[in-house]
Amino acid sequence: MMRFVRPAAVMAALLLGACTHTFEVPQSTLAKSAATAERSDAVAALVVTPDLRAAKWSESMMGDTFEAPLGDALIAGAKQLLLDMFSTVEVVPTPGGIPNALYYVAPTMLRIEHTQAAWAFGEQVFTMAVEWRVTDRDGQTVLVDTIISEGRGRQGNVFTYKGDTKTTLGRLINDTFAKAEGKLSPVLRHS
Amino acid sequence: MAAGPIAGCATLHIPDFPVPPAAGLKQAADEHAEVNLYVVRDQGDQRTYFGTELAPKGVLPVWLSVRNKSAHESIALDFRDVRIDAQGRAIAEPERAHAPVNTAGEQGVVLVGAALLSLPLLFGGAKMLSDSSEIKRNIMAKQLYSATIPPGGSTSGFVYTAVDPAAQTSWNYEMSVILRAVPVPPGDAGWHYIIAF
Repeated sequence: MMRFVRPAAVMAALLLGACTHTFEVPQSTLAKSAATAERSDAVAALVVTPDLRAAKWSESMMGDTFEAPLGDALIAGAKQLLLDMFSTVEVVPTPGGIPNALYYVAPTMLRIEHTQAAWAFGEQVFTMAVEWRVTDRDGQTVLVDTIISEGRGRQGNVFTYKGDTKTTLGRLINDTFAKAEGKLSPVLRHS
Repeated sequence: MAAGPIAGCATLHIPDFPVPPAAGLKQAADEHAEVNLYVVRDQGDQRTYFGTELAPKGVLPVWLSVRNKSAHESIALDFRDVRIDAQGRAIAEPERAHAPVNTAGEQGVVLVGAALLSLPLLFGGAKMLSDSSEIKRNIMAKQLYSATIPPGGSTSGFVYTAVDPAAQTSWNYEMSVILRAVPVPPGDAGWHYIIAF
């Protein structure tokens, strides 16, 4: 009897075990939009909450989980966006606490959805909503807006899907910060 | 010969929702802003613009538009300040800071995907998965989100509210929206707009 138990247990583990597939999320590759001389000498603060650090896309299918951790790319992109406009960017967990900060900028990842193609040569699409809230040193809200960004790319087959999805996620991140620059720049550069 | 099957496996395309006719709008307005509301009750329209009939799944899509009537100041719309009450109780309120739909509505959205995903993954399964994922993405993309509306500008989107599929036509709904002039000082009460439908 024992001869059958161990292989049966292994088979059961293989059949019932679920896998998690994690996709790499590239950081923004947008070229710096402003020359150093155009940056303000003022200080801006980037509000990085635990929710932002933990932001991710996750999808379950047939017992497996597919996920992409977005937090690091969103934080790095937001910090670079602000460094293009201000010479000093402080990272804080909540708005407040930096006496000489002109603005507190708080991005929040609201939702992300993924359209998968029916076939490997079809197109997959990531769509993400990120809310940007900017408050001034008096706690007044000077901007609250939502960026809907997209990344499109090939679905890929069993051999290429990881690389294809990484490329698509990179496009999503770039679109996010290209649009964010358009929304935030008119407000933050008039300081 | 291959064109037919290949065309049938193309990603589902769901069109944008057009600006509704003025005759179908319900409105609240003052000197600051104009708020318009349109309820997409027709299940044919729901199928066209959302890829599926939402009413049988307990979800009622409500299109909301806000126009800034000021020539000088911007207006802030926070989606957390959009609420829908029905029969005297709240059924659509942003219970979570990062969910611009009410919980019941979001369950309806999940059901939309789950109802399609529950089908066996046969040859047509991949297309069904693709279609259901595009339906979910489209619903998310069409939602109403927070926005700073410039002078003379406008913003619009959908609020997905819960509805009893058996009683949706008999409920009395009331939507409330709060708008605020930018910059918004802490604790600002804002301007309130209420529309019954």
